[in-house]
Amino acid sequence: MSKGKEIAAVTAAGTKSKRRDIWRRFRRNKGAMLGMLILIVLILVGATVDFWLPEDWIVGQNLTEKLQHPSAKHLFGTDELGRDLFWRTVYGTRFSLAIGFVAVIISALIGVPLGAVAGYYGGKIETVIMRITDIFSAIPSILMAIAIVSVLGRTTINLMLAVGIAAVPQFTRVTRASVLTVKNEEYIEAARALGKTDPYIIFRHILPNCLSPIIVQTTLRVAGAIISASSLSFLGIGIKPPTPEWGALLTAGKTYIMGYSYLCLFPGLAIMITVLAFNMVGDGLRDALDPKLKN
Amino acid sequence: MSEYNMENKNPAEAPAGTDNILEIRDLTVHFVTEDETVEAVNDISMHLKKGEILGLVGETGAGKTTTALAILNLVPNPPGVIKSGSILVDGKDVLKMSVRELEQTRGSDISMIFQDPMTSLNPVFTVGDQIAESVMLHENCTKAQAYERAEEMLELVGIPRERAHEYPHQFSGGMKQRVVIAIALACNPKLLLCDEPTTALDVTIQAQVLDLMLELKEKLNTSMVFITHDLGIIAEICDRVAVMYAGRIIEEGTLEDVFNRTKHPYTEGLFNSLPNIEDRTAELKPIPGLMPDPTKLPKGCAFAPRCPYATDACIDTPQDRHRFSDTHFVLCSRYKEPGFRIQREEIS
Amino acid sequence: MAEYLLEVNHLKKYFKTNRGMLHAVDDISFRLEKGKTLGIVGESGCGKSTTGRCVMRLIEPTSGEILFEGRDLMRLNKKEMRAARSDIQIIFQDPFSSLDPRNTVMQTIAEGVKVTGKYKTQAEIEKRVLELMKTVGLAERLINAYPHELDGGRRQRIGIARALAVEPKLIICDEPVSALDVSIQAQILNLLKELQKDLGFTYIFITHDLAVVNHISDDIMVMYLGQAVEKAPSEELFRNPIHPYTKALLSAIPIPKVGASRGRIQLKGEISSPVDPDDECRFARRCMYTCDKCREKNPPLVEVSPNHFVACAVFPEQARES
Repeated sequence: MSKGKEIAAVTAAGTKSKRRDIWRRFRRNKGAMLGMLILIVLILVGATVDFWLPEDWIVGQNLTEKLQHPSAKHLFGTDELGRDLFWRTVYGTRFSLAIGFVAVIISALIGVPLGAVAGYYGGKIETVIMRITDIFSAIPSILMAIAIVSVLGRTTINLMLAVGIAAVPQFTRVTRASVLTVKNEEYIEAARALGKTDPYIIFRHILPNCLSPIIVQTTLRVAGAIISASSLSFLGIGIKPPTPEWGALLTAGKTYIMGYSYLCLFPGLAIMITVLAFNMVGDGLRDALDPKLKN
Repeated sequence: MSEYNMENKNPAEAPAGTDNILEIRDLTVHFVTEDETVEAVNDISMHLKKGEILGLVGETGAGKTTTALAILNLVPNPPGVIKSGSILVDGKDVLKMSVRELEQTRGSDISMIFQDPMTSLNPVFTVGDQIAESVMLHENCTKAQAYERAEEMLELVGIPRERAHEYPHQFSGGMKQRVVIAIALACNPKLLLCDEPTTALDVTIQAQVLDLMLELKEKLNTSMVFITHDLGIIAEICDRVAVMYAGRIIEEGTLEDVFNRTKHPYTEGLFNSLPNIEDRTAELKPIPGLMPDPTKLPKGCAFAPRCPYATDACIDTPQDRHRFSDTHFVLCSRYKEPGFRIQREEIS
Repeated sequence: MAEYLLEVNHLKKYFKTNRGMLHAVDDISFRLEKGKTLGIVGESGCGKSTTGRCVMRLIEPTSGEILFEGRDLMRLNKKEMRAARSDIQIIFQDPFSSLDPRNTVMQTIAEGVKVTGKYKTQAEIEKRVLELMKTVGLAERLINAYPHELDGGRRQRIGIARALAVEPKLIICDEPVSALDVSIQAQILNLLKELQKDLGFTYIFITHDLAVVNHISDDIMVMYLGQAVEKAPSEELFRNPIHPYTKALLSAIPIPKVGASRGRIQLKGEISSPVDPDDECRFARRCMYTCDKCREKNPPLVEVSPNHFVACAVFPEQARES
C-alpha cells in the first residue's frame, strides 16, 4: 500500500517537474505571456459568442445610423447598413479562429504522417514525398487556395480545406527534419532490437519526441491560416459578405475607405493583434520547449 | 603522527612568491540560477612552478574545467560567480585585470587546449592562417613573419610545413589536435591549460600526442595544468597531482605521493575501480553510490556517504587538511586519529 | 567438440559513398561458445560497432553467414528476424541517447517484458519489471522516474534491464562503459560479470579500452580497418601479442603506475582510408616491419598456435620459428 503511494508520488513529481520547467521558462517571456492572455480572451469570446450576442446586433440593419464614426455608442462606428462594427468584429472572432484552427489541424493531419514516413524510411519514398512537397510549395499558397475553392465551391468547410492543404508542405518539412534527428538516437535502435514494428516505433517513440517543433509550428501556422482565410475573403472567394468574418469585413469596408477608414482599420487591427498573439506564443513555446536553451 | 600537521594550513602560501607561475588562493566559484546554486569550486588553493606539469584528476562534475576557466577569467557570468579568491599568473591577479589586460594575457601568457579538436578549429580558414592569426594578435609582426612562425609551429608539432595551406577537414583527429596545440603554443605562453586534450583520440594517437606534449615541455619549458579523468595519463606526464572531488582538492602531492603513498579514501577508490591490466582476474572494487548533488553539498565531507572509513563526525563537520610532507596533503579528518590508515598498501 | 552459440562466417558490410565502396566490415569470422565473452577491440572507425549491429541485422550485412544456434539469420525474412531478435539483445554506449526521454523506467523496461509474451496483465508486467530492476540494482522507488532525472550509471542499468527483459541468450555490449566515470564504470562491469555468472549470458563486448576488454573477455579479437588482425584468448593475447598493431595498441595503454610507461611502439602516419582499399596489408603503411610481402596481398588470418590467429605476412613465421 505505502509502496504504491510512494511510487505514485515519484511519478507525479517527475512529470510535474518537467512541465513546471517548461512553464517556468515560458512565463519568463513577457511577450509570450501577453500573447497568451490575448489568445485566452479571444478563444473565450470565439467559443461563447453565439450564446450571449443577440443576432440582431450583428445582422440587424438600421439605416438611420449608417456610416457613423466611432463614438461611445458605437465603439468602432457603423457600416453602410448601420450595423455596429464593434459587435460584428467581436462576432468575427468565431469564424477567424475556427478557420485558423481547423485549417491547421487539417494540414497537420496530412503533413505530419507524410513527413514522418519520409524521414523514417528515407530512400525512394522520401524522394517522392519531398519532391511533391517541393512542387506544392512552389505554387503560391493563395493561388492554390483559389484553385481549390473554385473547384470545390465556396463554403466555409472548403475554405478551411483550401487553407489547410496549402500549409501541408511546411508541416511535412518540419516533421521530416525532426524525425531525421530523432531516428538516429540509440533508443530507436533499441526498439528495433526488441523486434518492434515500424509503425509502433514511429508512433510510440519517434513522433512523441518530435512534438515540440510540431507544436511550435502549429501555433505559428494558425496565425498564417487566419491571414490566408482573411485574404481569400478579402479577394471575394472566402466567406460571403453578410457573415462578419474579418477578411469579409475588410472587403465590405474598402469601398468606403476614403471617408470612413475605420471600417477597414478595426477588422485589420483585429487580424493583426490575433496573428501577433499567436506568433508571440509560438516563439515563447519554441524557447520554452527547446532543451538546448535550458538554463 | 606528523610534525607537519599543525603547520600553515594553506599549501599555496608555503613556497612564498618566487618561481610560481600560477598561484590560486581560496578560489570559490558558484553557479547561481534563480532556484539553485551549484557549488562548483569550493575554496581551492594550488600552485604551479615554472616548467612543471600539474595533473588535475576527478570525475565529471568535480570542478576541474571550472577551475581552468577561472584561471582564464572565462567563467560564464551569469550564471557563474567567482565568490572569492585570487589567481596570480606570473604575479598578476587575473581576477582583477581589465578587459584589455585580459585579452593580452589570454593567448600570450596563458593558452588553453580543449577536449574536442573538431570544434576548436574554424573550418573556413587554413590551419596556417589560424596559427598566424593568433601570432599576429599578440605579437607585433607582419603577416609574412606570422605565417613563417606558423609553419615553424607546425613543424614543431610534427606536421610538414607544406600542410599549412590545408583546411581543418583535411586533417585527421590526431593531426587536428596537433594543430590546436600549435595554435596554443604559437605565442610561447607561460602557462598552458589542457582540458582532456586526448580524450577524443584513439589510444595510439593519444600516445603520440602525449609524447609530443612531453617533448614540447622539455624544449620550451612550458608549465601546464593537465586536466584528465585518466589516472594512466597522469602517471605518464605529470610531476604533481591534485585529486578533486565535489569542487575541492581532496588530495595533493607529487606523482609518487599520490600514486605510491595514497592517503585519501576517494583516491584509493579510484585506483580500485580500474581494471588491472596485468591481472585480469583481479576483482574490481567500485566506489559505491554516486557523486553528491552539487546544489546540496553536505556540511561535512562530501565523500563521506560513499566512504568506507567515514564516521558520524565526517558527515557533520568540515574536514581539515592533514599534511604528510611538504608536498603531500589530504582533506580528511580521520588522520587526526593516531594510527588511522587506509587499506591500499604503499608502493616503495 | 564445443557447442557454439554463434558462428559468424565471412561477414561483410560495404557502404556506398561518393568516393567509392567503404569496406566497414571486411570478411570477419568468429565463433562464440555459450556463456563466454568475446571482446572486440579497435580504434574508432575499425568497424567494431558495425560488426556488432550486423550480427543482429540492425544493419543489414552485405554478405556472410550468421549461424545462431545453427540457424542462419541471414536467411530469415523481416518478420522471422524480428522474432529472432529476442534471442539477441544490445546494450548501447550512450546512456543519454539510448533511452526514450519521454518514457519512464517502467515503460522502458516493460517494452522488453511484453516482447516475451509471458506476462499478460499489467500487474504481472509490473511485478516482472520490479524483479528486473532489482536484478540490475535499481531502487524500486525509481520505477516511474524519467531518464533525465537519473545519472549515467543508473541510465545504463535501465538499458541493461531492458535487454535482460527479453530473456536473450546473447547480449552485444557496444562500449557500455565508455561514457561513464571510472567509479561507475567499475559498478557496471561488475554487474555484467555477475549477470553472466548467474544467468549464463553470452557476450560480445565491443570497446576501445584494452584494460576493460582484458578484464571482461575470454577471447579477444583485434580489428583494424574492418578486418580482424589478431584473435586469441585474452591471457595469451596480452602475454604474447604477435601482430605489430596489437603490440602498438598494448604499448599505448597508459598505466596508472609511477614509471610504468614501457618502451612504446610509435606508429607512424595515420589510418589509411577504408574506401576501396588496395589488396595489401591494411596496416602496412603504419607498420615498422613492412616488407614487400605485405604489399603483395592482404594476409589471411592463420592459426599460429592453438586458438591464436594472426593476419600478418611477417610475424607468423617468426612466431613459429621461436
